[in-house]
Amino acid sequence: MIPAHVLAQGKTTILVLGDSLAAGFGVEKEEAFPFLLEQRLKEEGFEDIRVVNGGFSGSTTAGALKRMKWYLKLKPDFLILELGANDGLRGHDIASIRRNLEKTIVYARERKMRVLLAGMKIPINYGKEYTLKFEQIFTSLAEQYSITLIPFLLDGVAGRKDLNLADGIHPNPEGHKIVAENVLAVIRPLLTESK
Amino acid sequence: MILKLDRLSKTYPSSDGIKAVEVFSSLDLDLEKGETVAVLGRSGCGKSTLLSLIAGLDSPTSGDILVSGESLVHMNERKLSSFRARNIGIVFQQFHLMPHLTALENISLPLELVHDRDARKKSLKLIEAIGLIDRQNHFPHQLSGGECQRIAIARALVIEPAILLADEPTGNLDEKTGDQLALLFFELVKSINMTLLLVTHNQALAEQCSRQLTLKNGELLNDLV
Amino acid sequence: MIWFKLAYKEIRNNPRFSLFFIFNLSLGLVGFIALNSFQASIHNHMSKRSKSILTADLDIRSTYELTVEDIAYLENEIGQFSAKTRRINFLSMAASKNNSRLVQILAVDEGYPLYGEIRLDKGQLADQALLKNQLLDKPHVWVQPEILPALDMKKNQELNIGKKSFLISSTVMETSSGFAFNNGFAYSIFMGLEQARETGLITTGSRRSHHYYYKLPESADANEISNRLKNAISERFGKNAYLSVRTHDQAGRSMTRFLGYMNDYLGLVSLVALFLAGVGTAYLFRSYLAGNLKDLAILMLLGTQKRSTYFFLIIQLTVLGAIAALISILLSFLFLPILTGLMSDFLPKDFDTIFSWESVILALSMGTLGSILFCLPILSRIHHLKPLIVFNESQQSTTGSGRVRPLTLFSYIPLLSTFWLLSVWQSNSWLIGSIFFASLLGSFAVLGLIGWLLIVLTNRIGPDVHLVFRLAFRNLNRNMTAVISSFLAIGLGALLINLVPQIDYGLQKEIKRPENVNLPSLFLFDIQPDQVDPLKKFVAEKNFELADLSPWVAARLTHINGEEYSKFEAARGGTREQQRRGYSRRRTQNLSYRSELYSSEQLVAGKPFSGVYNPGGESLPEISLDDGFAESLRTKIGDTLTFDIQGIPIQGKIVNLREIKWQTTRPNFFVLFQPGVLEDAPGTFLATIYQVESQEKVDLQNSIIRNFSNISMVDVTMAVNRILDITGQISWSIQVMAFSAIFVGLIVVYSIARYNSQDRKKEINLLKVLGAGFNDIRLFIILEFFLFGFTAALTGSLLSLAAAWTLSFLIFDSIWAISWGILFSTIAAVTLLTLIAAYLGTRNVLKQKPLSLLQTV
Repeated sequence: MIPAHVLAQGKTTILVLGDSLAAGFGVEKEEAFPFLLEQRLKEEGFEDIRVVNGGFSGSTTAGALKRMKWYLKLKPDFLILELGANDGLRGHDIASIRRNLEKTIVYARERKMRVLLAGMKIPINYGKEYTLKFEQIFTSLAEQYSITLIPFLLDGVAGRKDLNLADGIHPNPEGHKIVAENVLAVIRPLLTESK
Repeated sequence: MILKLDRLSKTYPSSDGIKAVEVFSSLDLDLEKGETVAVLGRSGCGKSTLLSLIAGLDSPTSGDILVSGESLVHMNERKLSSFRARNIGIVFQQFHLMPHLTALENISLPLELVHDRDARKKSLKLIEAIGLIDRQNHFPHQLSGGECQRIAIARALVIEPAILLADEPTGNLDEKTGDQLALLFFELVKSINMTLLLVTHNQALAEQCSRQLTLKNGELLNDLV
Repeated sequence: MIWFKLAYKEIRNNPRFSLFFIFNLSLGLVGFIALNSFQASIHNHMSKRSKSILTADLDIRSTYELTVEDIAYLENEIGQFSAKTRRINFLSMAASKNNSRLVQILAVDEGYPLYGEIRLDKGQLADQALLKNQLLDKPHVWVQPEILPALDMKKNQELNIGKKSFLISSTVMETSSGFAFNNGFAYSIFMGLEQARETGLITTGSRRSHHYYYKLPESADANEISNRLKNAISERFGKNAYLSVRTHDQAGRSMTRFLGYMNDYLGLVSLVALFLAGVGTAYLFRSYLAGNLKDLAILMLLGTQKRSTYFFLIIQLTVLGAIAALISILLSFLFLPILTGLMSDFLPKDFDTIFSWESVILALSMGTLGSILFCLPILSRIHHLKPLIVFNESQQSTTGSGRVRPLTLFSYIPLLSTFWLLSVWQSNSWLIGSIFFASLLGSFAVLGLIGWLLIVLTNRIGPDVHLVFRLAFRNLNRNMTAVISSFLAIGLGALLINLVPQIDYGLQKEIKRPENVNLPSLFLFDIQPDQVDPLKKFVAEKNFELADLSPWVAARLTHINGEEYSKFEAARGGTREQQRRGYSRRRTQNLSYRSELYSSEQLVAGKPFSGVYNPGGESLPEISLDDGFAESLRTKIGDTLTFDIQGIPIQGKIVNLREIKWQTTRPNFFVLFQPGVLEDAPGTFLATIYQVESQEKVDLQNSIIRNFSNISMVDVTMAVNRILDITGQISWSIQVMAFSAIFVGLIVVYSIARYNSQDRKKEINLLKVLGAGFNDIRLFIILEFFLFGFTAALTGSLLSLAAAWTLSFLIFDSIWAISWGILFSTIAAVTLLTLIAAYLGTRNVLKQKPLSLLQTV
């Protein structure tokens, strides 16, 4: 059921488990940041690397663990966890968002994956209390499990008309390039280290 | 007595509705079995009116018409129709054949209308008599004018009517065909001793009848030939 | 002008023909105008509805607040407008003492809504005074009633939003715009716009939409202004501006789709009425001309040019046509308000009748030009007319030569092309218009052929058959052209009469949900796999049942038979825009797996799944596709599809095709995998809950959300009722249309049959003179009319089934159901009407004395 050539490629596998940002909502898959990340890594000499795009528009943290299990088929070495934004936008309970992310992180670490957690923010119209608590989920998890935090994935992109699609939320191809650089800056030292 | 007209008069309401037009008044006529009578007269003198009254197609203003002793005046439309079907044969100037029936079917039509079982046999005999047996399956439009009129004559005679009414039977034919038809017509009429009332303005045709009458100013005058 | 005088005399001297001609054409045109006006009225009504959904004619939406200069710039582009207002929407957390819930804030300004209304509890209308008094001037809110139990609050208590607290002064029961963003997880709260600013939430970094609403003058074209605005926006703000423009037409997509159906449909129905009238008119003219050829021949004999003869006839037609058009316009003026009055029970409350001036002008031109066009093929006969017929005894010899002349064929071209263009114009579609037109032409050909066969066959009747039958059958052969013409007219009449209700029936069947079908009350999304069992238990404890539980796995189609899918798309052709849209639609698929089909599905090809997939085996996983989807992918059974499921490619093989009844609101999927493949795949579940009473619904929804916070819910009943409300209104109008078309059609059939029976006066008289009984004559006439009336009705009706099928398929996406009742009633009604017409038409002739046969000069 999985074409054989797919299983053969790449030695180091990076899994991006994410939502519409990773899935490249509104842009081609080849323009979304996971694909660009792989390209940039190869340019930098990390030849034998594969980035798997586990992005899925609209997904929330509730399914994160289940999805994680699906990707075990590909034996990932790194996990970039990019989830939580949709939970926040839907006003979900803060504690349950944290719990879901935590379970996924623990599961991945048990299977010897290095985990990178992408930090998320939600618009301030949700009220100060909620937005603040939401942002704290990521910092506190990173601290608790000593995992690498990408402070804000959309750093330098969010709120800029020229880097986002007309909806004002999702990055355009130019925006994705910057997102890829944001991720690259964090993952580069980890890869060099493991080499 | 086959036909008796008893003080027959006919008045039409005029077109302007004020002045009535009197065609004729108090007309008397007796026709014996086998008699052939021609009625002559100028256009508009009332010849057709007379004929239509005798045929029961129109009703008189007053007076009576008796055919074989039965009064037409007292019959309703329905009764008239069936009486006509058995007792009165009519030959028209315009032939008036049913266009979608064959020659033979046209002849047998009146018999079939009265459900005569021997319709086919009788019609075949007649079509032979008028010399068109080989044309029996032709449709009217495939026949010449003369032939059509012969069929029409046969159709009028097939019911063995008490009286035969003919309305300018050669009027629609050229002279030669007309003469031929007239010959055949009178031969047939005489051979079966048919009573005939012929309306025409053709003097030559009229002369072949035993009596000639002229309708003039509403009166029937005996012609003195 | 001698010709006008002659034409006038001709009309006066043929009162029967003129009367029938005018009567017939007027009826058709009345139908045409009435149907078109109804179409316009419905359009107007629907646009009123869509305006109240948008609450304005025009809505400019922005993700940030526009500056005064920006607004001035945009308003300059809009030009004149009669009113404006604003609204800001955003999501936020509303908090009571103990609870917080995500809500949708609708911050409205003075004048809102420009169209439509807001109704508060106890049906109180929120007028401007109330709006100002409560929301604009005070920190009050109106909330959707569901919010209260969710936050465990009551009216007149205070809730917090952002930095500010608000008093709940009323609940909002109904807004004509619907609750903008209501899909069960964010209920709406109305507040004053300036009050909302004090929450501190309308600032940089917050996500919201600013709506600028405008009411335009009656005469303004919203779509045109919208296009102008869009250009202006991209000029000033750049291509990627966070600004969009909507007109009321674009609001409420499902409604505009139905509106589109209605427009196309009514347009074609009004054409049907017109065409029927045209056929009737042409038939009458044909009969009239056949009777008057001799007069024309005499005119020609006297030295008249052929050109003048045409001129003479065309003047005559124009005068008659114009009279008919004027009468019909007058009648429509009277008829429409009366009709609207009569139907006021069925009509929506605020329904206005509009008189369509466009169709009046069209009716006038169709009356004059149209009658010429319809009669042109008959006129062309003059071209071959030889004065010789004056001397010819037979009247018939000129009519049916049987040979088709090129000129006759050419003379159809103006009529056909005009009608074709009209079809396209009325249906708003080249394809549908052309197909409508082509099927009419095809029907013409089939009817002609059947009519001819009927004549040929009945002519074979031998002399042994009873006279009455023979007369009846042979009479059909009397004049082939005349019989075929009336056969065409009656057959076509039956076709068109039956066509309208047949489509109508299919359409009604589609949009009217059958009473016994059970719609789910709630639709649940985003159920996580580990929530399935607890949720089932939870719902069961509340005495409901979690039904139609379906796995939902998102995937992208990447390869067909090992070839990249994008290549297939590129080979498809069409505009790039179409390609792009179709591509992304087909590429992204939600997969599911199930071992059995739903009762709403039917296997149409291939074999069912073999069971659970064996990963150790050689074969690929089995896939089942929706047959329509398979067609749009251009794949067949045996093809392999590769899906990218969350980065992992999964290949499978198509083993069967299903037909899905989409109107059943169940979780339906284009692509199904056999069990054993996707169980591990990350996905969610969909489910439905049936039979939840409305008073229990809020409780159930809230308790589910409290315990399973990520699950989203859609209140299906609410959505469905909204659609049913609209479709209900559409149904009545369809029925009105159908009956009007039937009425016009039957009248035309009647006038044809009547005219036809008048035509055989001479034969009836002759039979009478020969002594035929009344009953015989009546029987033979009835038999003849029955024979061709019935055959024509039968053929026409059967053809209409084919046409209805085609039209339904094209316009209504293959919605079609045959109605036997309507079919049989059409056949019976047309046949019976032909007979009645024949009886009425010949009754007078039967009564008359057959005098006219004696023609002694």
